[in-house]
Parts: sequence; structure tokens; C-alpha cells
Amino acid sequence: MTHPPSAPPASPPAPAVPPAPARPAPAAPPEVPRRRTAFAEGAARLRAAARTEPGRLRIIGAVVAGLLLLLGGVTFAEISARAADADTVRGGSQPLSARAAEIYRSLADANTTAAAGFLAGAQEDPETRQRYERDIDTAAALLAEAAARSSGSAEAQRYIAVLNEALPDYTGLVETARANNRQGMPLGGAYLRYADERMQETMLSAAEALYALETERFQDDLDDARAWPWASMVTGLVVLSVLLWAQRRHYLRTNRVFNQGLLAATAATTVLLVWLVGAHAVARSALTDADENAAQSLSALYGAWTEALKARGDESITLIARGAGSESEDSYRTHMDRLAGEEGRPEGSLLDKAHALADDAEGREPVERAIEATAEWRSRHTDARALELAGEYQDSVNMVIGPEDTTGESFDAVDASLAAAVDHEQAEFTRAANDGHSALGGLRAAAVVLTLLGAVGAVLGIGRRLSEYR
Amino acid sequence: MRARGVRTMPENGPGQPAGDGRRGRRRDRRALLLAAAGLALTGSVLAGSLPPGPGHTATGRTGESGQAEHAAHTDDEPVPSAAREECQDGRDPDESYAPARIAGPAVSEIRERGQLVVGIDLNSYLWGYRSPQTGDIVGFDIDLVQAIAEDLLGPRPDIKYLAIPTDQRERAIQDGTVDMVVRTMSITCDRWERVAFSTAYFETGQQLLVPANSPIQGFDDSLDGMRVCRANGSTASKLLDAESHGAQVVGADNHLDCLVRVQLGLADALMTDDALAAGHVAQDPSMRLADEPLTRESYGVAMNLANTDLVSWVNAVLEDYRAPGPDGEPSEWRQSYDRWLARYLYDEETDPPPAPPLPQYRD
Repeated sequence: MTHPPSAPPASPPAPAVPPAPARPAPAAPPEVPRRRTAFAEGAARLRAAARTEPGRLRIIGAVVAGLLLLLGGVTFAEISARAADADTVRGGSQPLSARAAEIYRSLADANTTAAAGFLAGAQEDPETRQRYERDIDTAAALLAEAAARSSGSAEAQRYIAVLNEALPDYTGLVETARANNRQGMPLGGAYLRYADERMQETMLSAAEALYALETERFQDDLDDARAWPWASMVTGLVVLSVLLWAQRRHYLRTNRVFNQGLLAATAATTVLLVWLVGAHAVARSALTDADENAAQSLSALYGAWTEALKARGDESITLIARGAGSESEDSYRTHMDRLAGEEGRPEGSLLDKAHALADDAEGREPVERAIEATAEWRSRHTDARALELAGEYQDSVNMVIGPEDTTGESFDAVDASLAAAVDHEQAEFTRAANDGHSALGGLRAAAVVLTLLGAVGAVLGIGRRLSEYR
Repeated sequence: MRARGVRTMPENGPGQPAGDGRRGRRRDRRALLLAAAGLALTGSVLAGSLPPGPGHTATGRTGESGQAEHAAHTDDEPVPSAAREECQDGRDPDESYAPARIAGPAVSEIRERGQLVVGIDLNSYLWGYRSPQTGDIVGFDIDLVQAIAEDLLGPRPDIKYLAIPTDQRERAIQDGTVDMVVRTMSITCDRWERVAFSTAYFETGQQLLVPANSPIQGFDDSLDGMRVCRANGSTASKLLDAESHGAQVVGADNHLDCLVRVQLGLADALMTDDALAAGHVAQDPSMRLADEPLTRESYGVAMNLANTDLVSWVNAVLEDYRAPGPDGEPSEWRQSYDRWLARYLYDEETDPPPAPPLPQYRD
């Protein structure tokens, strides 16, 4: 720590020095007579005090103690804000973002499951039905919760309102589709296609927007929590320089090397500064870790997951449409390409990204399984599609929703692996965010205690010098 | 109400099969009576204003002789908008090649292959759809495919069904993906430019389908302010483009999607042909056909223009398909009709018995 031999007398803290209103006084207010007397009076008294050594000492003591108290307050406030941001990230905006992702996923899963169940018709597996109902229940519960919690943003509430309104319509369409289908009426297929269209065009896009919104807010909170506490650090340095200047002056005037009180105040300030920088550096790195290693992984994984769900839904809808067009097959290909890249070129695909972002073996392993299962799914889909085009409709359906060696089986493997990967990354995130939050733990209390101690030390130290003049 | 829409079909199809003779006679008498009434009406009212009523039907019922009768009908067709299309060369699009079972190159190829590849629809209830119970493809169109395949390949023929989207029917025929398309495909002059058709196997016309309690009377001013749904690129869309009667037109991918929209209250009516509308009524009995058909068109089996031997062969199959059995049992056509369509298209009380359209051949 360097200190200039001739430190200017308390130069920078001008903006925030409550106990010394005298400083700006000489710059005399122009023409307010009353004020002027009051100011002039104070200024005169100060000038008088500054002419004697005890007076100067008193002023120095007051300034140092005031600065220390200021440092305590600023640090307390700033760290409280950082801790609150970290806490918001950990307990508020990240879970909100994760929940928005879960709304999106459960809706997409419901749509996909409804299509698969519809394809099976009367032979629908009860497990499929339960899965659909679970998805709808999850989505409804999460939406209700989101409506109550989602940080009150009008935009978020708008998306939630759209979803809340569309969800019962959607389930109604699916039920109508099922009822018609069970009576052997192709109208059921038309209803399901319409339900799918509503899901894709209205609901999933609203859910996607909600997820994007919540994720953006989460990133903002994360950035806030990671910002350096500049005000505390600058104030701390100012306090330190003033203390050092006061001690140098003391040394020059008395030839005594140490004033114990001032020394204690310096020590307290130094400890606080080191603690502040250190704790924040730790919190920051933990949060950066949470962001880069977990949050970004999560975002890629959720992206991959929804693409997988959409591709699976399209696969079923293609068969349900029964040759009514090839839009769904085209859409399947688009989603599959986004998920796993074009055939033989996985670079840049969401799974590839998720794999690159996974930072440990435990995180990579499920993604690798998902990549493998996707490749298998793809090749099985090609076979199933070939069967459909060859007029072997039932064989094609069996290959998509049958019990073994089907695209459904591959999809389930992708689904399960991605769920495992998301769980892992979510745990990583929570752990890192907790680390970040707890790093700031004792700092607030320390700021108050240390600066109070410092102020007491400074006052005692100056008081000791003053007593020499009695 | 729905029966009214179908009345056009038997008009030119007099083939009342023997069998239910007594009821037939009774109806004959009534028909004659009505015919007399109709004639009286004709006498007193200007010919042009004659509504399509029972008199018309009765005339159709009287004769058994084919083409002249049919032509006469087309001539005095009372609904001007429902006029039959006439091609530029003056030919009726329904005319096809003379029936003949001669194994030319196309027929031989199918026989060597041992498999008939047919483009069908899987979304038209009663016509071509997959029964969710059995998983089988069934319907009126499918019965005809069976008959053709059995005739070409013998009993238990190997048939490959390919579901073909509407807009790809012609291409699938042209590039040889399928041997034929049997998919509620209307015979038109325009399509004759690219594909060949068999003789007609069903008569239909565009019609409005509305909920039972709808205030819509027909294709008139009662449509004003209503939303009418039709499949994109369909005959109905051409009709509505030409004259909408103040209706707001709603588009959908196919006619079944229109039914969904009407049921959900997103449209007030839909327009499609009455044969497909029968499938809609079957799926939702609360729908009814409004007024008379606006057009008259026939379904035919579409094949490659070059495969004239196959076309002739199919026409020969259709001859047998339409003909009543030797012991007076109903024709295969009628049996299939009764199995799939009669319940929804045919009202025993008011309608003449259903019969296939009469074949017309090119000279």
C-alpha cells in the first residue's frame, strides 16, 4: 500500500461527509442573508478551531470516525443488495426461469403424448394416458403458481394469462379428438391436428416467450449479483488513505511512531477491505460458475429437450394426418436438425452445445446417452417413414409407438437422459449459487462491527493526543 | 333435409334394382302422381322458374334407357348454377374409353408385378379411412378398388394402398408412383389434360353444410355476414371466390378441418361436395345440407393418360360393378352404397332408389 508523503488533507470524500459541513462553506452562498450568518458563524468557529492544534485534532477525529461509519453503512447497504441479488438468483429468478422451462416442457410433452395416444387409438396404453394427464396437471399447477409469483411483470402475466386461457381449450380439443377417434371417425384426427396447431402456434410460443423473459430477468439478476461493490471499495480506500495521512501527521508532529487507536482503526479498515474484496471475488466466481457451467448448460438442455419433444410430436402427427400433407414430416426434420444437427454434422446442434457446456463427466454422460439415442431414433424414423411411404401404414405406426425397437423407445431414452442431465445441472447450479450466496454471509455483520471498532479506535486514539493538551 | 341434396344423383340413374318390388311399385305410383302434378305445374308456370321438385325426380324414374335420358336431364337442368361442365371440344368430361378387357402394356405390367398400387384417401369417412377398431382401410372407394384388383389379379389380390394428399394426386399418377387414384376425385376437363379417367362411378355436387339450427337457407343472401369454411384449392373455393353472397370465407387445409371449425363455432357453414358432406353428417348428425347442390360433378378412377388399356379395363369392371346380379340381387355398386352411404344419403320415404351414374363413352 503506497501513500504519498504529502497526502492532501482529505481531498476526495467531499460529497459524503456529514460531520463536516464546513468544507463547502468558504465557497459562500451568494445572497441569502440568514443562511449566510449561520454558515458564516459555523465557518468562523471552524476557522477558529483550525487555528489551534486541539481544534485540528478534533476535526480530524470527527472526520475519521465519520468516514469509518460511512464505510460501514455503504458496505452494509451494498453487500445487502448483492446478497439479495444472489438470493433472488438462487431462490427467485432462476427457479422462475426453470419453472417456465418446465411449463414449456410439460405442455410440449402433453401434446406429444396426446398424439402418440391418439395413434394407438382404442389400444392406448393407460401409462400414456396417465402421462398426458400428469403433464396437464403439472402445467396447470405451475401456471397457477407462476401467476401468483412471477415478479409482477405485466409482460409475464400476459403470457401466463394466454396460457391459462388456452389450456382448457386445448384439453377440450384433445378429448373431442379422442372421443371421435374411438368411434372410428376421422374427424378425431382433424381435431387432434387442430389441437396440435393451437398448441404450437399459441401455447408453445407463449410458453417460449415466458421462458425467454424469465431467463433474461434471471441473467440480469445474476449480473447484478456479480457486480463489484465499487462504492464500498472506494470508500474503504479513502478511509485508509485518511487514516494513513492522520498517522503520518501524528508521527511528524510527535515523533511517536504509533497511535494505537488510529492503528486499530487502520487494521479494522484493512481487514474489512480485504474481506470485502475476497468474499466478493469468491461469490462472483461461484456465480460465474453457476452461470457458465450450470445455467448455460440448462438453457442448452432445455432447448434440446423441447426440440426432441416437438420432433416426436411431428412424427406422430405425420401418421395421424395419414397422407394429408408433408408439413409435419418437414417440421420433424427441422426440429431434428436443430436437436442433433444435419445428418452426420452434429456441430452446432443443441445436443452438441449441451455436451460442450457440460463441465464434468457426470454432466457429459447423460448428454452422450441422449446423443446416442437420438442417432438411433433418427435411423428408426427413416425406416418408419419408408414403411409409411410404401403403404405399410400399420407397420409404420408400430415402429413409432410399438413396444420394442421403436422410435418411441429411442425418444423415451432421449427424454430420460435429458431429464437426468437437467437434474444434474440444476443441482450444480443450486450448489454454486448457494456457495456464492454464503460467501457474502458474514460480511454485512463484519462491516458494521469492524467500522464501529475502527471509529471507536480512531476517537480513542485522537482523544489520547487531545488529553496531552489539558 | 340432407336427402334433398342427394337427389341429383339418382336423377340420371334409373337403375332400380328388382327385389323390393312392392315398395318400388308403390313409389312408382306416387312418382307418377307427382309427375302428373309436375306436368301440371309446368303447364301453368314459366319453364325457367320451375323449381327442382318431385316432378323432376319422377321423370328420371320413368325411363330405363340410358344416355338419352341422361342428356335430357342435363338439358332441362333446373338449377342453372348446377350446370354440368362441358369441355372445350364440346365433350362431356365424363366420357371415357369404351370398356374392354384387353391386357395391354399397363395391365400386363400390373399382372406381372402381382400387385396393384392405388392412391387413396385415409381421411374421408365412409369413402376411404382407417377403421381404428380393425386398423383396416375401408369405405366406398375402397370397395371399388377391391373389385378392380380382384378382376385384374384374381381372388385375394395384393393391393398396396398409398395415402396421397389432394394436391399430389395427379403427380403420383403421372410419375407412376401409383397405378390409379381412387379418391373421391372429380372428373374435370382440366384434369383430363393430365390424367385419364374411367367412367363416372358417383355423382355429386358442391353444397353447403350447416348446423341444424342455422338460419342459412342456401347459397343466397342468407349467407350475408356468415363465415363459410372451405378447403383451400377446392372447387368450393372457386365457387365462393366467384360469388360469396356477403359471406366471409374461412380457409382450411381440408374439408374435415372445416367441420372442426363449424363445430367449434369458428365458422357458420362449410362448403364441400355432398358425397363428402355425407361423411360429415355421419360424424355429426346435427349437421344438415342446405338447399340444392350448386354444381354437378362425377367421381372417376384416375389413371395415367398413356394407359388406355387400363382405363378400358377399369371401365369394363365398372360395367359389371353397376349391373345387378343375374338373380336380381342388387349390384355390387348398390351393395357398397348401402353399406357405407345409404344411411346418410338416402331417405327411403322421399328418394328414388339410389343408382350409379350411367357410363358415357367416347365415340
